[in-house]
Amino acid sequence: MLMMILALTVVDVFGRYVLSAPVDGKTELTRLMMATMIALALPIVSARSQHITVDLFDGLFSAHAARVRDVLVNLLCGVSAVILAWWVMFRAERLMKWGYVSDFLHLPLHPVAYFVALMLAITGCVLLGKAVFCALIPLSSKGGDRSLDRV
Amino acid sequence: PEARSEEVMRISSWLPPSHVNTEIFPTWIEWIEEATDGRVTGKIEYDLASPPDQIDIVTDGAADASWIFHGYNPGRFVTTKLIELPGLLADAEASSVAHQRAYETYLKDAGEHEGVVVAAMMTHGPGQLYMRTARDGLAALDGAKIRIGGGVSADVAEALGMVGVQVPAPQVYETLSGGVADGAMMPIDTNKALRLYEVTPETYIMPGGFYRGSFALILSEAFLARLSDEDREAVLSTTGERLAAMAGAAWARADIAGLELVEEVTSMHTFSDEDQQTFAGISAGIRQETIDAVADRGVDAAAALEMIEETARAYVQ
Amino acid sequence: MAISLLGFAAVISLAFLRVPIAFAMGLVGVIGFAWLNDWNWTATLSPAAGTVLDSLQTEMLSVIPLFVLMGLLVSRAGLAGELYQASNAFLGHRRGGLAMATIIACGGFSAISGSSLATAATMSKVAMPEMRKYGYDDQLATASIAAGGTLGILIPPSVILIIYGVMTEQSIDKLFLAGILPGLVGIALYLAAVRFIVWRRPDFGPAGMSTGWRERSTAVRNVWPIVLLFIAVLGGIYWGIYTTTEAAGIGAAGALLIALVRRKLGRMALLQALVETLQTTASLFAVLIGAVIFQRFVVRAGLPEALLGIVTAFDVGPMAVIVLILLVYFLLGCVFESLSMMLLTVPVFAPVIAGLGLFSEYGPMSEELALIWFGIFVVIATEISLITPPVGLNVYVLKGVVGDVTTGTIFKGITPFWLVDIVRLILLILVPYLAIAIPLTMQN
Ligand code: NA
Ligand code: NA
Repeated sequence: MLMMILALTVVDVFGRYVLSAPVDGKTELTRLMMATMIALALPIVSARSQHITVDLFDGLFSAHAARVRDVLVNLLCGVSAVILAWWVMFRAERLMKWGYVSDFLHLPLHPVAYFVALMLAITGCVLLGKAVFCALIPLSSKGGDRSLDRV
Repeated sequence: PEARSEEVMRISSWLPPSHVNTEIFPTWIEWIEEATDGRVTGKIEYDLASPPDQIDIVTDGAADASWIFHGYNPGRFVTTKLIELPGLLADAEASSVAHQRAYETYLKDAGEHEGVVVAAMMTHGPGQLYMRTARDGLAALDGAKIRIGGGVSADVAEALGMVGVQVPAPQVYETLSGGVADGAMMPIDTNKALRLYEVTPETYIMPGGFYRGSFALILSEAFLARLSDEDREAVLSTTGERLAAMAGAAWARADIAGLELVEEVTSMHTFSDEDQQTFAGISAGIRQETIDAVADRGVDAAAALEMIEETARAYVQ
Repeated sequence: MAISLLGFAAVISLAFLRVPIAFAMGLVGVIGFAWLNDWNWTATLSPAAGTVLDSLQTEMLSVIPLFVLMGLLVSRAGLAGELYQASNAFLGHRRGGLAMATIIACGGFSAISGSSLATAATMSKVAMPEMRKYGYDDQLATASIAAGGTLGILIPPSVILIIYGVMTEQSIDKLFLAGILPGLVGIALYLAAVRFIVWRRPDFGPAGMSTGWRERSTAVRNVWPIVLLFIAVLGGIYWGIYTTTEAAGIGAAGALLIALVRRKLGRMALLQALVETLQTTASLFAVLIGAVIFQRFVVRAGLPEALLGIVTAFDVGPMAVIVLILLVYFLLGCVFESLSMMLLTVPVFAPVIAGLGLFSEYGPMSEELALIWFGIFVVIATEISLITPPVGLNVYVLKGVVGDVTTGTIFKGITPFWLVDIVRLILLILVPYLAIAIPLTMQN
């Protein structure tokens, strides 16, 4: 889908200058595809602990404390994601009820919103699963899941 | 620190303080303070939500009041497109009052604003055309790349054979300065607010405008429920036609300042009689389509439009 | 104001407890907003959900995955190595020349990569073995890469500048152009820092082999795709041929083309690059959404207003305010990485900066120019945080790639670079035209 956005942009610029006929509604297609892609990646990022975190004080936690911490953090984040998913669904219902559509192509806006809600719910379940996993696995194999951001 | 008994109406705004809302909101707050003997006052908060989400935060009670542009929520608002049709010879004040009356009598029944209380409807002045280079009449605009907003302006641009360029308002300046768009269709006050005059030295006037934008000032039901019966009555007494006229007058004043500026620094062109005829023909088609769409919402569109035109004409005289 | 300060304290505490920044900011934002709204959860959570949907669909942010992809593809295409060889061909024979070549190559790579960490990671793979081969001291070798890598977010394209632009509603085009001159000054100052180090300790950077003119011209010829790509992206923006989004698309497509032509990209590698792009983008968006939710709480609590009130009441003058803000960045820079630091502070500081009356000689444009200048200021301040102990992410990235050096060694070597960064920041404050000169020429 990222390749599609890429192709769409190139075709658009090319079309505008060479054929002077841009792709209508390209912006809104890009926006909807972006939302879908990022929502799709959220559970993966959460599963692989690729969220941006501060790990400055990792050394201060004993293995035991680190386990308690990881369980609690994953629990907290998992519950938050599930609650957020519920409210995104609330907004998706509203979009459907009022018949919101995109500006040019008049595409309905609620399907993408429902998809985002679903992906957030899955993210929540993944994080809750990690909380359980952290609580159950033996201490020695747990080196604290380090991750670096990429900015 | 404010007194316990004082209720603060938190007004959300999605454009910076420099915009025309600096005139509308403080005056409205004064009216409310006066009507409630100071028991209710107001406070403007910026950047609480994106422009399309403004109606949602008022529905949910996260803000007590806001102003919305109907074109940002396509699909939900259809009846508000009637006021946006081109050809209405009226300034923003007259068209705001006309919009308010049509809303109270006809448009309200469509229930598009369910969940919030409409304090007043309003419009900006006629949208005109600003170009980077001179064009020889309407026919020469065929194929031109024009920045448009939403709603009726998009229909108009399409009917004129223009290529719509869709960018948010803060980006209009660069879109034009870089030549990504050849021109823009916006109300005349934006020349001042967005400094369009620097990049579009040619101003084209179509009497009655190419379109005009429909807005509403809205109140939250939760906020009104929070007030005592007396204060609620008092706050509601500041709404309606009087508020619509005040807001419209603020837009009209901004337009006058914008017009003075473009007259001074850009070359002004008015479309020829022939072009005006052509455009009237094109608008007739858009008009019919809009009437049909509004009628689909169970509103007597023809009668509402007649009321709009009648009110605006009477108001101007 | 007290409530918002409590909020900041809560975010920082949660972050120290290893709660991902996105969740820390989002949670505190939601709870704080609910507190200020009589615990009305609909009024709090429905707008938060709206923020999620809204941010995911922000058009200006769609450039981020494209620029991230562009950087990844270029590094897959092996262009970083050629950049290094080219600058090496000219500088390698001097004392400290390889380190200087590293700085130049980092600058060049920054011109096509939007991220500092990617720049540091890519260049460390290329430059580190070379410098070791010629007997460079680890301190100088690693520090020049870590410092050079910070240029990635200042020299356009820059993910941080894009997010700053979206948050402050400033033109990303102008911010990109504003980053060029301070970026070049950064390169010059880093080169001076290398010269200073080898002057003090000649054994740190022995001279390498000298290269003939024939080889030099071959090396230069190998870099032209990068130059072309940079010109296509930035030139297109400068001359207004296309928008930033389109420039990003063109850049990514160009990088893809280069990678394909060089046969450096198989089906699997392409897929990998796409997945990595998505993951990076998703973690960025998560933080961004958390930050916007937090920002709404801070706005409701009235913090920006209160700060502005304090600044006006005490009438301390713009310079004192800027120095105070700088101090805050130094403190935060010790602990936070660049993006979180920026997202946490910009909503609070930007209105203050806009209200200081900088660039008043430009009339109606003054506020815009002030915010563009502040964007560059923030980026340099956050660049410094990337190499400030104890949490300097560039240093950790480098350690991750190189392996057998201690972070202590890298931090020790980095001190001169850190000092010239401070010089650059002071220069930017004293000569603000460094940032706004190029955007100003675009106006006319
Ligand atoms: Na860069
Ligand atoms: Na740091």
